[in-house]
Amino acid sequence: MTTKQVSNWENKRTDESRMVEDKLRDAGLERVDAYRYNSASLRVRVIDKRFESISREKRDEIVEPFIDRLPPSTQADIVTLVLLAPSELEQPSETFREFMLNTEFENPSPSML
Amino acid sequence: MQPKTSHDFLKVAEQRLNAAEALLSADLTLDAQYVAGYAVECSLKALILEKTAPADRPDTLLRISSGATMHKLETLFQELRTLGVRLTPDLAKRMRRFDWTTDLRYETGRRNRGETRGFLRTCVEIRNWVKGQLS
Repeated sequence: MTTKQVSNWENKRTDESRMVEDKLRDAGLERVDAYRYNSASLRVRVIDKRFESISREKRDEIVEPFIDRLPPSTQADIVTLVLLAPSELEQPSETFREFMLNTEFENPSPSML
Repeated sequence: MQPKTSHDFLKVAEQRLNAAEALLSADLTLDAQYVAGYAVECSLKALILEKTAPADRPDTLLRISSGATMHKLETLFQELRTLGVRLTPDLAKRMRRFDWTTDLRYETGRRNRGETRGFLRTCVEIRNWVKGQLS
């Protein structure tokens, strides 16, 4: 018998975060993961091959128009947005900051309240 | 001296912002971002204190002034949410690009100048948003 290993963040998914995943996937983004970190923060990670070799600014330009279509209250809670190319998942990111962001996404530190 | 009031925290934010501008002028872009992040942290703490009932402020001051987790902006947003304060969608959009943590202290090198200008612009927007809500 095999058991599927669930990532630390996966049990933090909510109906709202699933809606975000669905809407962004429907918009054509390849892989979208989202969960509610706390009452004020929805974390979203998008992994898409179009992000290969382009800047964070260009990645934002691809994703933000789709976030703009989400309900305003949902938009206002998305304060963490991790944008990665597939190759950046397979090998450590070139910058320490990206590495830390993805590590925190995968292993959310305990929420205080 | 340890800030005690919302206006004290905003004063610290102003000073960090000025320091960040000076660092950017010297092309120390990464250092500018690192220092600027504290301007956002202190602005949010100013708003938390402002929105807290006067009787509860001493306990809140103690809580927000200690512990590594109170450097986490998401934690401060959560504190604000319990006080009925929500970011505007525009500010949230800015925060999505504002990937500041105290871990920046371990980074070396420089950041893109334009990105750093945007980073500091976010600090100013947050500072202004908070300032507009202080009595």
